[in-house]
This record gives sequence, C-alpha cells and structure tokens, in this order.
Amino acid sequence: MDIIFIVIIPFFVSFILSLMRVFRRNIFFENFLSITGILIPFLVSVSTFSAVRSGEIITYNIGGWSPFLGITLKMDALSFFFSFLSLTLLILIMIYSLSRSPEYKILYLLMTGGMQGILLTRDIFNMYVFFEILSVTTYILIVSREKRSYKASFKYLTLGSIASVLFLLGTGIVYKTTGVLNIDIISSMNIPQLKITFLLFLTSLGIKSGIFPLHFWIPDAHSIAPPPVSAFLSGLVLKIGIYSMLRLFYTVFRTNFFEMNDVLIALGAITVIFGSLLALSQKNLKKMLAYSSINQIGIIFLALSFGTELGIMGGLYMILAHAVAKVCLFLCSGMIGDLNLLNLKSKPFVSIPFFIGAISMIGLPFTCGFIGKYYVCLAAVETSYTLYAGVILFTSIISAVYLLRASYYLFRTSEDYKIPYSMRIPVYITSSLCIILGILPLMISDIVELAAKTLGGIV
Amino acid sequence: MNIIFAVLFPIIGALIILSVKKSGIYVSIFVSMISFLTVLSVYPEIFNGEEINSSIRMIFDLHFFVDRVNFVMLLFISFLNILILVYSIKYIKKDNHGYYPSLLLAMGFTLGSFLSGDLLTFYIFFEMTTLFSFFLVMYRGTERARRAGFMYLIMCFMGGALILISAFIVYLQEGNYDMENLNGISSLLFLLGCLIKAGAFPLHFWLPEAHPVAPSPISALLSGIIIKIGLYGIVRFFMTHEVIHWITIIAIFSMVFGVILALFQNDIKRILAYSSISQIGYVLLGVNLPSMGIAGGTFHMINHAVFKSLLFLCMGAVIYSTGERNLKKLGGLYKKMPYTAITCIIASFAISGIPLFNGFASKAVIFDSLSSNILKSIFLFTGGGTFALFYKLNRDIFFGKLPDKLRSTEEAPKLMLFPMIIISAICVLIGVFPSTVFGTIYAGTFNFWSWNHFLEAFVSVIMGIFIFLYGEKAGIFDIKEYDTDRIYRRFTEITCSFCENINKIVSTDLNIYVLCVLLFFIFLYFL
Amino acid sequence: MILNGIITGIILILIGLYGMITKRHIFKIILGLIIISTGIVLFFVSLGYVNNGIAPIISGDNLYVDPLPHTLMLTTIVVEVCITSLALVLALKIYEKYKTLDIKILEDI
Repeated sequence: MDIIFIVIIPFFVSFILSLMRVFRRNIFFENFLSITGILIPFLVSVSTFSAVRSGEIITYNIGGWSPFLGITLKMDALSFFFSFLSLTLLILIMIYSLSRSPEYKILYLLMTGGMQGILLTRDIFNMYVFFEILSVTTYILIVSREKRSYKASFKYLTLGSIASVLFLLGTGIVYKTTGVLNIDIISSMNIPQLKITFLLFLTSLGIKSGIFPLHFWIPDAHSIAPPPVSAFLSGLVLKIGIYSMLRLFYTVFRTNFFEMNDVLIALGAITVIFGSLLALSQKNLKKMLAYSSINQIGIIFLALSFGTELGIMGGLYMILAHAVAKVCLFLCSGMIGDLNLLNLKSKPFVSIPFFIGAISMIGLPFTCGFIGKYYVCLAAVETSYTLYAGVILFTSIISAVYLLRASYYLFRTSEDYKIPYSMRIPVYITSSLCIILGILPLMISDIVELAAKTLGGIV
Repeated sequence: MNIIFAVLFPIIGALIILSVKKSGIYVSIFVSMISFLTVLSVYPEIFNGEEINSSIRMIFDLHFFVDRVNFVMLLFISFLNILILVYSIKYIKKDNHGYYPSLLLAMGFTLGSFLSGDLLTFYIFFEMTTLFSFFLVMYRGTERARRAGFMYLIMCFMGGALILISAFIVYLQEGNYDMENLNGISSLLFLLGCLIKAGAFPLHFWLPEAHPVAPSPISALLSGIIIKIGLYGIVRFFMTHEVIHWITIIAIFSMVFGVILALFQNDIKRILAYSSISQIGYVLLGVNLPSMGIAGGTFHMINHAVFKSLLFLCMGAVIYSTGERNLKKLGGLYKKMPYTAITCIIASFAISGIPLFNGFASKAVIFDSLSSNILKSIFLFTGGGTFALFYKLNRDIFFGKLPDKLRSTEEAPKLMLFPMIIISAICVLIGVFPSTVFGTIYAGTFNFWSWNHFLEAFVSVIMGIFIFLYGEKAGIFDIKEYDTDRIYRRFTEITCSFCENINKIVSTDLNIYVLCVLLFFIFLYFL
Repeated sequence: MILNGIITGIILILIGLYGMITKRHIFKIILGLIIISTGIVLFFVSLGYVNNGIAPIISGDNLYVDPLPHTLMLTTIVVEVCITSLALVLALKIYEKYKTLDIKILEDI
C-alpha cells in the first residue's frame, strides 16, 4: 500500500462516521470503525519499516505530478519514527476514550489524519494546511462540560492562529526567494534564507511546541481539557511542532540555524528552568503535569539545538520517552477523581502506573527517560556546554520532588470505584512500555541513529 | 550461579508481592535467603583469588565485579538484609502493602551497587536505591517524615547527578566507564557525589533528619548499609588513585563534629545518626592512607554496618516496648528488657573500640596506618568521645531509676530479639577472630593483639571518662536539641515563595500573551 | 505595485496585531484576527505579482501573474473562515456561561 493511505484513511473513516449520524447510534460499529481508522495507517506504516530501516526513502507524488510542481509525501527514518510513535499512542488513547461521544471520535480521526499529514509531507504549504486541520480539531476537542474550557480553548485558538499567520508569512517569503515550495528541492538549492524568515518559522513553531515566552496557552489548555485530550495534546501535538522544526531547520534554514545555535540552546534552558519551577508550585495535578511537559519540551529543544548527531539522538529518545510517559501520566490522572494535590487518593492499579510514568519523566535508570537524559547530557558534555548538562540534571531533581510527591500521595488507598478495562489497558501498556523501552533496545536505536544521520549530514 | 541473581531475586520478589497481596513476609524472607546463598556460592572462586566479571547487555552494558573486598561486604550485607526482614515482621504493623516491596527493591538495588564494576552501573544502582529508600524514609507519613524524605531525596539525587557528570567526562575522554580513568575534574565531581551520599561533614545535614524519622529496621538499613554505597565508591576510587589531602580534613571534621553534636542530643535515634557521621569520618580517614589504610577503612565499614544495625535494632526494641524516644524519659530498663540491654551494651563496646569486639580490630588497623601525631590524638579523642556518648546512652536507658510510666514494659518479642542476638554474636566473633575477615580483604598479616593497640583502647576509654565527667559537670547534656536543618528549611521556604510569586506574576491575560510573541520576535531579530 | 501590496499587507497585519494586544473585548480580538488574515492574503498575492502581467487565464502569448499564490490563498481564506466561525462560537458560549466578554474580568473568575 502506498503511504498516502496513512493520511487518507483517517479522513475517510471520519467521513463515514459522520454519515452514520443519520442512522441510529450503533456503538459497536462506531468503536470498530474508529479503531480501524487508526489501525490501518498503523499497519501501513509498519509495513514500511524494513525498507526504511535499510535507509531507503519511500516517495509518493500526489496525483503523479513531479516534485517541482506538486505535493510529495516521503517516509524516511525521521518521519517513520514520529509516525510509528504517534500512531501507537493514538490507538491506545482511542481505546481509552471509547466511551465518549461520536463527535469526539470524528474529530479525533480528523486530528490523526492531520497529524500524519504533517509528518509525511514535504511541501511547506501543505504542512500549513495539515497544521490547520490539526489545530482546529484540537481547539474543539479541548472544550468539555467545564466552563473554563471555553476560555482555555479561546486562548489556544488566538495564539494558534497567530502561529499559523506567522507560518504563512514565512512560507511567502521562502516562495519569493526560491520559487518552489518543496523542502527537498529548496534544501538542495542551498540558498541562504533571510534571518526574518527563520525567525518567523521559529516563532510560529515555538508557539505550537511551547518554548519559553510562547508557552502560555499550554497550562490552561492541557489542564482543563478532558484527560485523553490532554494526553495526546501534551504527548503528541507538541512534538509535531518539534518535528516541523527539525524538518525545516536542518534542511531549509541550515545556515540560520547554526548561526543562532547558542541563543536557541539558552532559550531551551530558560524553558526548562521556568517549567520546572512553576510546576513545583502547582496545586492541581494536571496543571503540574502540563508544566512538566513544558519542562521536557525545553530539554528536547535544547538537545536538538546542539546541532550534533548525539544531540539529535538525545532529542529523539527524549521525545519517545516523554510521549510514552506523559500519555501514561495523563491517562492515569483521568482515573483519579479529585485533582487537588493534597487530597489525592487512588487504587493501586492507578498509582503504580503513575509511579512508573513519574520515574520515567524524572529520568531514573531502567526507564526510557533515562536513555533520553543520558544522550542529551552526553551531547551537552561533548559540545562543552557542560553547564547545560548540570541544568538538566538539576531540574530533573526538581521534577523528582514534585512528581514523587504526587505519586507518594497517590499511594494512599481510596474508596472503591469501578474503572472499565478499556481505560485500564492503555495505562498498563504505556507504563510497561516505559520500562521495556528502557531495558531492551528493540530496534529503536537503529531508527533513531538513522534518523539522526539522514538529517542531511550533520556537522 | 551467576552473581546477578543476587540482585534479580529481590526485584522479582517485590514484583510477586505486588501481585499477590498477602505474601509479603514469606516471599521477602525466602528471596533474601536466596540472595545470600547466591553471594555465598561465589566464595570458592574468590578464595582462589579470582575476580568475577560479568555484564548484561541492555541498551547500556551493566558491569558487575566481585573481588575480595567486595565479597566480604556483600556477604555481610545480604546477611544483614535477612535479619532486618526478620526484625520487620514484628515491628511493622501488617496493614501496609508498600513496605515489603519497597524494602526488597531497595535491598536488591543496594546489592547491585556493591556489585557494580564501572561508573555507569554504580550510578544506575545508586539512583534506584535512593528512590526506594526515599519511600521507606517517608513510611510514617508525618510532616517531619515527609520533610526529611525530600531532603534525603534531593541531596542524594544531587550526589548522583555529580557522579553522572563525572561518568560522562570519563566516557568522552576514554570511551569507557572504568573507574580508573577518573582524573582532574571528573574525580572531584565523583568524590563530591559519593561524599554527599555518605554523609560527610559539610553536606551531612540530611542524615540526622532522615535516619531517625524512618522506622527502626529502615534506619538500620539506611545507616548500616545504604550509607556504605557512597563509601564503597570512595574505596574503589582510592584503590586506583593517590591520596587526596582535603579528604583527611573532611574526615577529621566528620569524626569530631559527629561525636560532639551527638553528645548534645536527647533523641536516641538522632544520637545514633550523628555517631554514624562520626564513624564515616573514621572510614574516610582510613581509606585516604596508602595500602593498609584502605583495608582498614573497608574493615571498619563492615564492622560499622554490623554494630550500627544492631544499635538501631536495639533502639527499635526500646521504642517498640516503651513508646519513648527521649533519653530523659527513659531509665532503668535493665530489669525489664535484659536481652535488649545486653545486646545494646555489646554493640556499644564494639563501637567504642573495646578489645575483643569488632570495633577494636578495625580501629587498630586504621590507627597503625596513621603517621602524624596530630591525627593520632584526634583519633583517640574521638574514640573517647564515642565511649562517653555510648556510656551516657546506656546509662540513661538501661540503668538508673525506672520512671513510673514504664513500669509495665515488657521485653521485645522473640522475633525481634533473635536478629539482635545473632548480630551481637557476630560482633563478638569478629572481635575475637578478626583475621578471618581482615585476611580476606587484605593480602597480608596484621597483629591485632599487640600491646600498642590495647594501650590506645585504654587511652580512649580514659579520655572518654574525662569527657563524660566534664560533660556532666558543665551540663552540656541538658542543652536542648541542636537544630541543624534551619538552613535547609529556610532554603525550601525561599524556593516555595519564589515559585508562588512567579506563579502570580505569570499573567493569565491574553493581551500579554500576544505581546510576548511580538517581543520575542523583535528581541531575537535584533540579537 | 508589488511594494504597495506588500506594504499594505504588512500594515494590515500590524494593525491586527495591535488590536489583539490592546483590546479587551473578545469580538475586537477576533476582528484583529480577521484583519491579520486579510493582511496576509494581500501580502501573499502581491508577492506573486509579475510586472505587466495579466490574470492567469491562458489566452495567448502573454506574461501572466503567478497563479500559485492565488490558489494557496484560496485555501487560506477557507481555513480562516473556519477558524473565525469557531472563534465566534466560542465567544458566544463564553458569553452564555459568564455573561461578560471582557477578558480582564474573565480572568478573575
């Protein structure tokens, strides 16, 4: 199957689901469709694994137009890494949220399609369109019964639209200077871009991923949204911004990026410190987890700005670790009733996965968080930015304090309440993945190294 | 059998207990015995002088290493683990499900850190031990326990972070993680990290908070075993590196301050915690001296593990039976709790360095390795202080007038007495036959029974009597508790208020958000 | 001509940003968004202008204005309509729940 099916099938299935609104609601068929809507892209992407692993890049030109004129979809190691990770977590979150309304599932599938589109496309404007699809569906998904969710969604909408506008401005200037919109062709043309273009893209993608002065929408949106929505927002949508940064900065904006290296690393460090200090003072569990996401995104951004191969490997491992752990933590928090930190109580089947997710976020050994932290700190020491390694380790101690405090409170037992198995299984799977990925390599290291190398022969 | 099973079995045991709720006690004792037998099973190879190297291939390679030094420590530690578990059967009430899994995990990872063969493995097990012992420290759940637990966590993680950075520096210079390659700044970071964990003088303030607050078997585990992890790292370091002078200064300060501060305390477990700091000073002094000193320091480490665990278990028995921790409210328990009293007195003799007990042997070795007279006199003074301290402790608990409230105390249950008696027997055995243990560590002979050593023990005891009489007269013993964690508490208060102020300043206003975006853009453009 | 278009586009964007930074009423912020998007459409289209070009419908051998920005902007306009409608619905819901549309007052709730 061609890789276009990874993008098309979620859209198609959501269309069918919305048509089904005409008939009487059939829950089984709805669930079945929504899971297959993500399962089929997952299988398609798995089928490309062996090809990608040996270094081949799979290309699909939409409509048969040549890359110069039309839109190209390509699956290389970096896209495969993100696509596989996101599809796995999206299936798990879908299983978690099977009891929600059909509109939720329609929007969820649309969002999946948008996400996969960003990951596979090699055309800047197409990336903008898919970003819009992703963002608009998340604006709607954040809204829940709670009153404050409208405010949070509005704030997210405003900032997200500014991000899109800046993205378009940047695209325009790139088009004017080069005449094409295809990323591979632009990077092979090797025209140095203006600084202002780079800054436009940096600000835009920074808003989407949550770098320091641009992160203000994150605490509200991620904490007030329903738990599975927070899970994929924190775990995946922020990473899509980072992916776009990787894709654009290392290819189109190479010279600008390497010039501004130090500034970006400092920016990442400020984000890290800010996120962890603010997380310490939160009283609401989900807001604390949202600030902890900002913390980790800062570390990822820091790692990716080093510009070395070890830095990219560290960043990618950190992305993997954070996605799995954060999804686990948010899904666990969905099973807890009262989110005030001092009143936390729950049963062991929630507190143990929370504990495992927490130790992965801190970066303790035998979890995948440690591997991420290991490579990032190694990259920092290698490029003689040892101070930043110290900053990362110190803030991981602060994360230890607030996360272990929450998990210690969670170990107190509480009243019996029933949680359906469909909600427990994704939590168990993600928490065991945290530990398994920390112990066995499972071929991920091959993909990560290949991804690090394919970002165009890095210095 | 592969030595790695000594580490794996406690971990698997913990997982079993987490799944099958009621089985806590049986599984943990079974598993700790298997772990002890695994360690014992490598004895033939070690006896022949071989070293064991094994590694597990995961994403990183974990290297495990056993040699003569390591083996003795592992043997004692795994044996003490079994005894602590037996003691916990009675001491810990049955309604908590988190105790045995955390304890088994902590024990397993501790054994792993003593088995570690290179820097990265050491760091990995170090961090995991800190994590699980943190939960054990906070077991009681009181406000003070939580504060102590977090202090412990932060300090030990900082130590771990320093070790990790030094491991990276070594890796980037040499390409592997061997401890021999530490030099320059990486050795400084590594030593600092280990010293924080060990509780050496300037950074020791977490110790007198964390060790007393934990339940008594956990205090025994912490003071007896987990502290030794940091010291083990320093011992390994000095086996391949030269003497470093500032460590002697730290050692002296630890020794002296530990004893003096202990004399001021009234809480029986805090006294023991401060005396741990003092004994760590002895070990640091020992390992900083060439060849025989390292062996002496290691021997003292093992002895300290033995008698300090025994002391904490005795104090635990006193607390269990009487419910009191304050020295002023105890007294005259000799008649009511004879076994506890005898074992406590044996342990006190051991720690003070009385001949025929194990402390005497290790102090003799360290004393012989000292060269300067100043160090020798400080050594004797500290020995005297320790004797005074434990004389005061025993007198105030077991002798003297029995308060009215304690008329109905009984002896501790047999399951708690049994480990105490066994450990005190070990104290006496090592004291009478020190060459068996010391001969395994040190490849040479040493005369434990020379007149010099008896003389120095005697001098220590005399100095101790003088210190005690002076203290009684000057009324030092009545000073209120010395509060060392004021600085730390102030620091946490400042951090918390700082964070909350930042929280208030971070505006929730949409206009400000867009303004920030614009300012960000402009700022970076003109940078 | 290009310069006029580009400058007007940028001025519109700046006006819209000014509106979003200083105005307190939610509708004014949404209006700011709309002005920004209009500005950017203008900017983009005038980037594609070729001197003396005519509208890009093939009719003989002429110089054509670049049609690509036009198509991209059609997509952009559709997206902006969607976002604007979503923003208006959110504003309506906020009014329904909170009875006010002033963002300073909303933050204190």
